[in-house]
Amino acid sequence: MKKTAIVFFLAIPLLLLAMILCSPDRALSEAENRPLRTKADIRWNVMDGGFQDWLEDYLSDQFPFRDALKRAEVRCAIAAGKRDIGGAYIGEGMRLFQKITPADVNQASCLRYARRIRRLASETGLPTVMIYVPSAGVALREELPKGAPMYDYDALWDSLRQELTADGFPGITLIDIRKRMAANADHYYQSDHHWTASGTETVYQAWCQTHEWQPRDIEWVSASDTFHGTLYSKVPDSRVPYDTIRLPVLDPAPQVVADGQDIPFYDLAALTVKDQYNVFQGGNHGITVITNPALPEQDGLTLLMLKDSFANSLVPLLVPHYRQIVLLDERYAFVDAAQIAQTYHADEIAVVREIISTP
Amino acid sequence: MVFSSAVFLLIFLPVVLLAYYIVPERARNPVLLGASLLFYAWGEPVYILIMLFSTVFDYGNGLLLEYLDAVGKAKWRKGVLALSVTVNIGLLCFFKYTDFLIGTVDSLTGAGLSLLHIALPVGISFYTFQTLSYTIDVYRRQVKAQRRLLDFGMYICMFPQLIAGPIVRYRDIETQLHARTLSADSICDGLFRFVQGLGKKVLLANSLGIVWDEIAALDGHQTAMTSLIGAAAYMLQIYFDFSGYSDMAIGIGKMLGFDFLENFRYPYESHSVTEFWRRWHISLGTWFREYLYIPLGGNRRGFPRQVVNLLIVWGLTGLWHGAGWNFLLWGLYFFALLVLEKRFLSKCLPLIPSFVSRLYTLAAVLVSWVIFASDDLSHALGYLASLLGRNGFADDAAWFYLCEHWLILAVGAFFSVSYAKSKYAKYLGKIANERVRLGVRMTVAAVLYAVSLLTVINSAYNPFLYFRF
Repeated sequence: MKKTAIVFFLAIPLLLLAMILCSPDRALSEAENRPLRTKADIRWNVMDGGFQDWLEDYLSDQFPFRDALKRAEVRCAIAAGKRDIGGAYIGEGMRLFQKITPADVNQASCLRYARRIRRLASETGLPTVMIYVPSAGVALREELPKGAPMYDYDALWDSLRQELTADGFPGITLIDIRKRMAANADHYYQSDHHWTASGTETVYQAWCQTHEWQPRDIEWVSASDTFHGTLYSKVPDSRVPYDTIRLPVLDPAPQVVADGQDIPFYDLAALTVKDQYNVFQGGNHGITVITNPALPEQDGLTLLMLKDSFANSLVPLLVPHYRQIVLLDERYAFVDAAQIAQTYHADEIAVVREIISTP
Repeated sequence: MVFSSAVFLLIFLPVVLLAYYIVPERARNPVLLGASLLFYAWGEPVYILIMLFSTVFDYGNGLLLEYLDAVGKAKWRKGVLALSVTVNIGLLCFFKYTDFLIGTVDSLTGAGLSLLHIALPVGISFYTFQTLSYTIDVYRRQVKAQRRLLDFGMYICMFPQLIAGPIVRYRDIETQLHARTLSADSICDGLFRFVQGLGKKVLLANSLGIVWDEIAALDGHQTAMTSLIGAAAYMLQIYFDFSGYSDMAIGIGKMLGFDFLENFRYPYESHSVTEFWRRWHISLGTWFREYLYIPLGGNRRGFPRQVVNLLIVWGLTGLWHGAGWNFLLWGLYFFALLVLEKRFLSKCLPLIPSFVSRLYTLAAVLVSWVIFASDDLSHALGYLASLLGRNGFADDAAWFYLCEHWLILAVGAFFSVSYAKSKYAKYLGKIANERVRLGVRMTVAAVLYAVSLLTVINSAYNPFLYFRF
């Protein structure tokens, strides 16, 4: 019997190993939003640890029933009373929030970025608006588990405002959307950190108010009611409610060139895969140029927007007001924003980003 | 390579054990040496040369010491020992303390010196102490020099205890290097011990580490209750991490036919700091006592001299744990407590109720871990101040942390004392049928092993918020 025990403990790992090596590799984990290590990307360099890292990653990435194992672990953790799982807080009704603690926010780099924007505004002389997106956990503080640590958005906002408007600098308008976003929990998805249709519409109204425009009536069409976003990837539990993605109808459809390639304005194929939020311009790109054929080339305005993914769902509502919108995601394109403003003859600059994604 | 990795659990350990059991007995040492070198080279493909140098160097020193005896030139022996100690400690100091020294000189003089950024070879603190114990024991004529380089290499490089102890003295293992028995009993015992250690490391230590990391990052702005949760988590983490590693080493040793000495005996049950150090990292304490404290004179030359000896030993014990002022301070903190206990408290501690002395010990050790875990002095002081209530007793965040982590803390506390183990042993003892008893042990081990392995795999699950193809 002891021998059986020994054989059992030696054989089980080797059997698992055989299973991993013999079964076909999975190239992509939809649940995690990332490519997996496969036999194809084996690295042979032993001296710098490349092969060692590859093998360790390969074994865990190709382990049988990996996603189910993760789901089981998450279920156990929730049953044990945990409300912070892998960087996502679980609120009432299994609503998920991205956990961003004070330690996650680098105030110095936020202020550095603000100074850069101020320089950009003063160099180009263009009117500039800024929206520092309040994270869902900040706007909907009451919905978080009681006491769950989040960064202090208000304090950060105050110091950023001071930096941007010091010495009475008139070039930058900060749009304060805190109260509007806190007014309704439906402004954020429940399984993703982004704005919902109602959230983007609320931001759009604030935008129009700042610009003294009359907001347009928007026709919404439901694109998906089975959306489980990136926070769901952290907490893959079937009790997390599905979200609905709604898209504003735009006719005629805008033309989009992302990093030099024509792409559809709404990437409907994204609705059939895991990260459905990519329906908006097919996700993030370095430079995206959106042209609105409904406005004549001569008298339409051009907007240069420095953005993160929050802007992706706001852009469709702004399209009718501009001839051209140039989106610059500085995490993916390392270019001089002033240069881009000049190249595209921008009339206005906007910054729309969550503080946490400040480059 | 670390034990709690997929490569070790799924490939290295089963393959090495299988090979070790299949080959004829005389081939076992070469198999073990080869496996150990591969194990080390996996993580340190370059620095393995340093370990090999130390091995060959002290192998030569051992032989030389005996040769000098044989040819009647015993007075040269001291020189050989001095050379061995200088070279071994010199290597250790170069890799471990150079940057620390440069940084210190720089901050004192403002000379603008730049650090060398020398990477620390894994396990150098452990294997250096092992080779030193060998040379010193041969010098003292307590053991014979090992003539077979292969056996000596295996002693230094043996993978179970190579990178995190226990520090095995040559004399404790000398006979086992060439004559050891393998039985199904000892293999099974080793297996269960290994799984126990794996569970401690993967299920407890790693989860507790996350709690500490998060609370330590609050930088002293937290309330007393949050600080206590963080410090308690670290206290349990370091115990399960270290003793878990020792369990795994002892377990694998048993599976290979070796008997390593125990390294931890439920230190958090101690009634004094003196007792704590008799139960915590026993092999290190033994090493310092045998090879430093006693040669310095120990307690045989009066109390003042004993205090100086303790100061040297504990200053160095602190620095052995890491090159930083916090480690030195940590060692000196224990020096102060131990002197205090020897002089005064040893008389009153036995008189007070057991739970009070245990509480005193736990509190003293808890404070020590805060010093140990803080990168710099100001962090440690800030943390201790918040522990004493500088920012109030409790807030909503403290209750959140408590609700979030009470289970892991409770489970950790439960397994950090001997209660569970003795109950389990009693329960097993009541089962008359040996097959049933083995079945129970196997089931417990299999569940623990499976959950640990899956946790290792799950830790690589890593969702990306921002992603591009």
